[in-house]
Amino acid sequence: MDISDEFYNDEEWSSSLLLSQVNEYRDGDVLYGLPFRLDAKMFFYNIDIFNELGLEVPETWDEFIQVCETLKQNGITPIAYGNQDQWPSSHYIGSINQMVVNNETRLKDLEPSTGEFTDPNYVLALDYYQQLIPYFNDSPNAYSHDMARNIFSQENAAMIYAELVEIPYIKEENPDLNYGMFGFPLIEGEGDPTLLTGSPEGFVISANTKYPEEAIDFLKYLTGPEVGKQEVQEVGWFNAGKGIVDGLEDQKLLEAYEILEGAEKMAGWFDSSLYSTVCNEYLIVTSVLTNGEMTPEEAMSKIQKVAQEAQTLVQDTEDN
Amino acid sequence: MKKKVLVPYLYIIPGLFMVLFFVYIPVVSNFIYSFFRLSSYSAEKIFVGFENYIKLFTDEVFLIMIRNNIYYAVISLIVQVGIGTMLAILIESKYSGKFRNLYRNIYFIPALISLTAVGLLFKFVYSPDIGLLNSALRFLNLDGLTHAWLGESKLAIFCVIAMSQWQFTGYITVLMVVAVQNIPKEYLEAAEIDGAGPIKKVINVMLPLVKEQLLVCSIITIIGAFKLFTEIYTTTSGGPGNSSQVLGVYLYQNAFLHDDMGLAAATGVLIFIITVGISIIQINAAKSGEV
Repeated sequence: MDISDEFYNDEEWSSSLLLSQVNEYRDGDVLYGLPFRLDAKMFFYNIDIFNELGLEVPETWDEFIQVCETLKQNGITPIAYGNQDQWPSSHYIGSINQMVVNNETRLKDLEPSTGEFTDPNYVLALDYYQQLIPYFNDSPNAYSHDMARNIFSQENAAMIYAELVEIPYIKEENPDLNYGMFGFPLIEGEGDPTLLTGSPEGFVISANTKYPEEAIDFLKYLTGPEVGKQEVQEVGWFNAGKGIVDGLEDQKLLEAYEILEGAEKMAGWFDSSLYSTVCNEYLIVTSVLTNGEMTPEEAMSKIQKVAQEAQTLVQDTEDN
Repeated sequence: MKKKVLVPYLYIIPGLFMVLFFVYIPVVSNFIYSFFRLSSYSAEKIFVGFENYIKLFTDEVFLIMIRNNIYYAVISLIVQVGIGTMLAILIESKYSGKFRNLYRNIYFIPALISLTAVGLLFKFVYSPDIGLLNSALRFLNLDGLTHAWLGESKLAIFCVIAMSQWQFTGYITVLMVVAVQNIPKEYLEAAEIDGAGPIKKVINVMLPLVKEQLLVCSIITIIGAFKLFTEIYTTTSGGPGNSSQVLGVYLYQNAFLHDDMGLAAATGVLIFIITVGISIIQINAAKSGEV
């Protein structure tokens, strides 16, 4: 159901939310939902380990690799990574793709009816991913993401690529962990480095509802600042309400909120953005590539084939 | 008179409807669906002939899945039925003494744990760093044998198979214990009088007498191997890559992740044909009913 009239005409309502996040539920002029749980992917790093080795937060890819190398030489696992469930790889690939692949090409490929994945930069992205493999813990495919996060929380690795919604979990696993966050290191490429990886979860209203007004009222309440304040205090998650962190003391959460507040544009999760069969293939080949049993070129040619099949699948469905 | 003939049928009707609606009609409609392209979000069905079957048989995962299901069937036959039967005979022999019941319970307990719980449990057992298996190997100074287990393409499927053997060998053992208990003592005594040693007694007297039960256990095991789902789904989901993919998980993923109900139905038909086929072959081969 399109709620854009109700939302944009109600000045009080629309000014109470972070519009950059609300936009994630907009398609053209249509606003079809509102965010309930904001999220983004960041590198979390162990400040104590970094200080001990005199490391600085890396901004570029080269600096990042340098940091990883130093950590490794000092006998510390640079990055905790668990890819048993296969989706974690898509967050790496998604973030790298955003930087090295032209934004228009990327968006065109995410659309199943036009997706080809023939741009050579996709291979390049997998190359970059491959450069990280020596710096992950051994055999990432044998660890779930939760296990990997525990490796990081227990200070057995210096960094992890994790979601902001995981901050409460880390607090539970090791309340004394001294850690910070930085964005995915900058890779010079044809893409758009200002995109922040992640997208909010939210609620939409069915167009068939018998009670549109009540549903809108409820959504306004649920995704508004009042519930947002409670949400962040009690579970450590944010909705798009403005000022929900007032009075909050948890420094990590404040830092996270600042990141989300400052984000101009989000790039949705790569696995959720892809057509299901293409996503499946991407996850499978990346998993094999992570085990060192496939090259980026082989991987992309497999994905291209499935993307081609997806085009015909979508075409057939549209024809009928 | 007429009423008397009717009454028994009336008793059967509720049960008949249950199997009809929940077993036979779904099997038939699944068979029909396998010739269509259909999705759960639209009422439209497009007739595509054998396209779903061609897609299934030409998928490069197909051979991997068949191979994995066969590995599972063969290893389960050897371990669960083979070792299970041996355990049953040992438990029922004089060697187990007064601990007979204790042994039976110990072997049976793993079969009582939910499949999902066992899957999660073994994820920990196989975990490279903190896992029980690697820790034990390191404790024994066998560091060279440690592996990433579920994370290695060549090992993942065998790790899951091993887990199932741990869980279900005791189940088959208990089924076989019942059969061994039913062997008339006279036969065994007669064999002893004729001078048969323990091994001869097992091969020539006991095994032929438990043939029926052995057959049932083999069918259960092989059918289970081709219906395999939960064990894989809770541990590797078919990974790394497609290395531990099996028919059941493939069916599920196509139906509920890729919304390709036609392909999933075709996979279901294949599983059905395989399991029914194997049952028929085995029942015929054993010439059921004769001892």
